[in-house]
Parts: sequence; structure tokens; C-alpha cells
Amino acid sequence: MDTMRYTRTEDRHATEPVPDGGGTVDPTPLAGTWLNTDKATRGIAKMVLTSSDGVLLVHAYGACAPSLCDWGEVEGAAFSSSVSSSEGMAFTATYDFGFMETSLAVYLKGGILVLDSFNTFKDGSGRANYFSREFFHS
Amino acid sequence: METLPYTRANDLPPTQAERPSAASVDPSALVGAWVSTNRATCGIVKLILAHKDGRFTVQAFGALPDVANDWGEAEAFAFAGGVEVHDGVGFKAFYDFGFMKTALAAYLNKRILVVDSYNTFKDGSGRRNYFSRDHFYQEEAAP
Repeated sequence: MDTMRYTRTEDRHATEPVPDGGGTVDPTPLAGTWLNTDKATRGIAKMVLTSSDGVLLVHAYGACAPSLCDWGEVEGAAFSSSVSSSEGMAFTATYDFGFMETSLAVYLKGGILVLDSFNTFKDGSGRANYFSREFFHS
Repeated sequence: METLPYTRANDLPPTQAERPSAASVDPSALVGAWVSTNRATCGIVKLILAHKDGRFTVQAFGALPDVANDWGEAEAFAFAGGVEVHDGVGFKAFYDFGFMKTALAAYLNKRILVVDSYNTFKDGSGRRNYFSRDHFYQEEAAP
């Protein structure tokens, strides 16, 4: 049997060969409207995640005053918890605002969406690239 | 004074007068050898983070039976805890293995390095793209 390539043990199925399914991850478990658990957040206040024909769409809203900053919709990439699971429980997405770029790395745990954002400035403003971590409930 | 563009309140310094003078993030707090807290991990067993000649790099080792698989060195990007501070508290890095790619998204939490990996297969093997998380402590240098 031709063994699949891997970088670590968890890249491999517990038992080969590969089950049917074409390797797709279903983003449906992530879909919904997610609100920051911190009502006074200065980061991301809300995210709307939708699944359209198996594609994850991410719509984020930044905490701005007097109203939220609508970041628009971008495509996300869904991930499951293992090579054998098709159930989406994490995603990545990137927003390019021109003056800065924000990478979102997000996972679902116990009904809470845990979001890490990695923010890179491109405008020479002297602001430091920064990381932040936030929690969301549906 | 010109207002900085922003996407959320966190993008702005506490006051406009507190604009930082330079944007560099110091990765010193991240540098060193980091070992998985889980001796039986099937994910990443060890990370070596280095900062040399202005270049911040990561070298990861995957868990294989009886051996650690050296993934080689990749460029890493450090992130601070806010726009007005410069101490690195997180990083991201990317590995492209050809048949799959792995994005690492990591941060420091009370001297534990939390590393999330987002793994995407490109080889048509039918394996699902998957997320995993490992925790690391810093290996002390020999006296």
C-alpha cells in the first residue's frame, strides 16, 4: 500500500485507507451570528459566519464609535479536528484593508468561538503589529 | 493632526499624541527552545525560535514514532500586545511541504507558548484539512 506523506503522526489516519468524502470540511457548525463576550471590546464586536455551497463566508464588524466598522465579507478556510473528520470547528480568514492586514485564526471550543487576530500595519504610521484574542458567543 | 486610519478602536494608540516612533516588534520574549507539555503529542514536539541579524525564524519538529521530524527553518512574524508596545507576545509562520501546508498561529500566555496549527492538504489524498493545538514550555539552557 502506498503510504501517504506526512509531517507528524496526526497527519495520518488512524487506519488507512482514506474514507470517502473528497477531503472536504463542512463549515456549517461554524455558521451563525457571533457576539463578543466583552461588550466593551475595542476589537471585533461581531462576526456573521455563513455557509454557502460548502464555502465559509466571514463578515466581521470592528468596534468603532458611534457605530460598528463593517469590514465586509471575505471567504474563510474551514478546518476540522482531524484528518478523518468532516465537521468544521475552526477557520482562517484574511482582511486586507490596504493600510493594514488582519489575519484571523479562529476555533470553536465548548460553544465559544475563540478568535486570534494578527494585525500588520503597512502604512508606515509607526504602530506596532499586534496580536489580540477575543471570545464570542452565538 | 491627521487621524490614523483604523478598523477598530484597538488600532489606535491611547492618545494620538502617543504615536510610537518605530513599528518594530521585539521577539526576544519568544526566542528559545520550546518543548511540548504533552510527551505523547502526535503534533509538534518542539520549536526553536531564533532572532539573528534582524531575522526572526522558527524551526519546528513534528512527532513521529521514535523520532522528531525536522521541518526546517521558516520565517516568523512577531506581534506585540498592542499598537503602542513593542514586546513580542505572538507570532505566525507558514510551512509549505508541497503535499500540504501548515500555518502556525501562536501566542505567549504566562510563559506557556500556545501554538495553533491550521493544516491544509494539497495532495488529493482525501484527508481533511485540520486544526490542532499544542502547548510548550521553555527548555532551560544548560548552566
